[in-house]
Amino acid sequence: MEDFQREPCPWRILEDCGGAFAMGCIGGGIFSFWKGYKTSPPGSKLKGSISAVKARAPVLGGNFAVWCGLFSSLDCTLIALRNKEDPWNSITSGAMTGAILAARGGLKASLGAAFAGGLILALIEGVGIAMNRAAADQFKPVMPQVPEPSQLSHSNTRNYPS
Amino acid sequence: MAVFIKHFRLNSLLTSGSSCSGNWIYARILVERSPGSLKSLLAAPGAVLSPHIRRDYSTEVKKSGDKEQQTSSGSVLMEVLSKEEPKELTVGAKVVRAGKDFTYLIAIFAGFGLMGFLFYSVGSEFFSSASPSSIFSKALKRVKADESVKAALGEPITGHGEESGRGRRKQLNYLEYEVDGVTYMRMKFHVSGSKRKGETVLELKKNEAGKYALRFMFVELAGYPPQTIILEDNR
Repeated sequence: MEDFQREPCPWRILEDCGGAFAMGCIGGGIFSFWKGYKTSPPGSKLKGSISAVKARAPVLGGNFAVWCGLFSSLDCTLIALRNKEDPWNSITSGAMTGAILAARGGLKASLGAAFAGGLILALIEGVGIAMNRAAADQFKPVMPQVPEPSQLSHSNTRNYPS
Repeated sequence: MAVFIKHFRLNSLLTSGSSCSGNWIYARILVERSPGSLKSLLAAPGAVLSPHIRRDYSTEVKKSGDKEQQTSSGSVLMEVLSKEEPKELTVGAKVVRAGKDFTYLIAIFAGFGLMGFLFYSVGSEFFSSASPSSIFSKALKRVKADESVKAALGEPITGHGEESGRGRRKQLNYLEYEVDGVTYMRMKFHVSGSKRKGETVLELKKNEAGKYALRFMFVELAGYPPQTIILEDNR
């Protein structure tokens, strides 16, 4: 039930940070294991893989966590400012996150990263919207028994136009 | 740089021998004037390079008095420079290459197509007035502006859809259906103020022009006492 749920917003930032860290660690672990295996000489393949994972995986996890933490904070800020939750929030905050994290590279790098961030988030939102719409299109009933809401005071029977 | 490479090539090709500066100068002039004649020069008998000059230019450090002959295959640069053009491909290899290129082309086009589709769905969701998001947007604006809703929920009023995943409440709950050839859309979204929460239900009906018009809209407050605020009823 919606009524018994707490507001997601301030807590969401921490959850996103943790989730992103775990995701980066796992993904980076798999990738660096493979890379370490390829780059180490025969005889010390496993050792090389493990040391590569130890060196690289937490770094990637940290990068992911920073990105997602900043993104989520900005998303929550925008929700609070606009009093509305919609895809614009996440696209804007993706662009802002890219801009902030690349700010030390100068204005040009910052703008490029902002564009990339906004693009990625727009694509993610696009996947969500397309899936939602596909589900809705598939379930488009003809002549359904949609009840008129009982909250409306008069005439509880539907008067369809003939 | 070009001159350096020429010298290097000269070095790796020429056999080391007794110092003969006359020949060296000749070789250098020839190389700088006409690089094409390098090979013919090198093929000429007695083409030798003085060791100290060679040491200046060559990347390979050799001990003095090293009489070892440097074969032409020993130098990587030489190999690169003297590499022959790839031979004519066989029919099978051509087919394999064409197939590979075609597969890559298909993958690229599929990627572009998918991206275009996603951007289309985002764009039509944002910029079409009949899309669920813009309907939600309009309806929420109206709910927020209503005085009795403001009084009941308490300001500020926040609107959001159903929860989809961790803390994301963007998924709109809507249903499009058809009765007697007329399309209707019913939508539900949540509103919460500082005092109370509620649910907004609205229904739209497509008119003759194919545009959605509001049929009814009300806000049902959650909790006790139950209360419904009717914003519009055009039935």
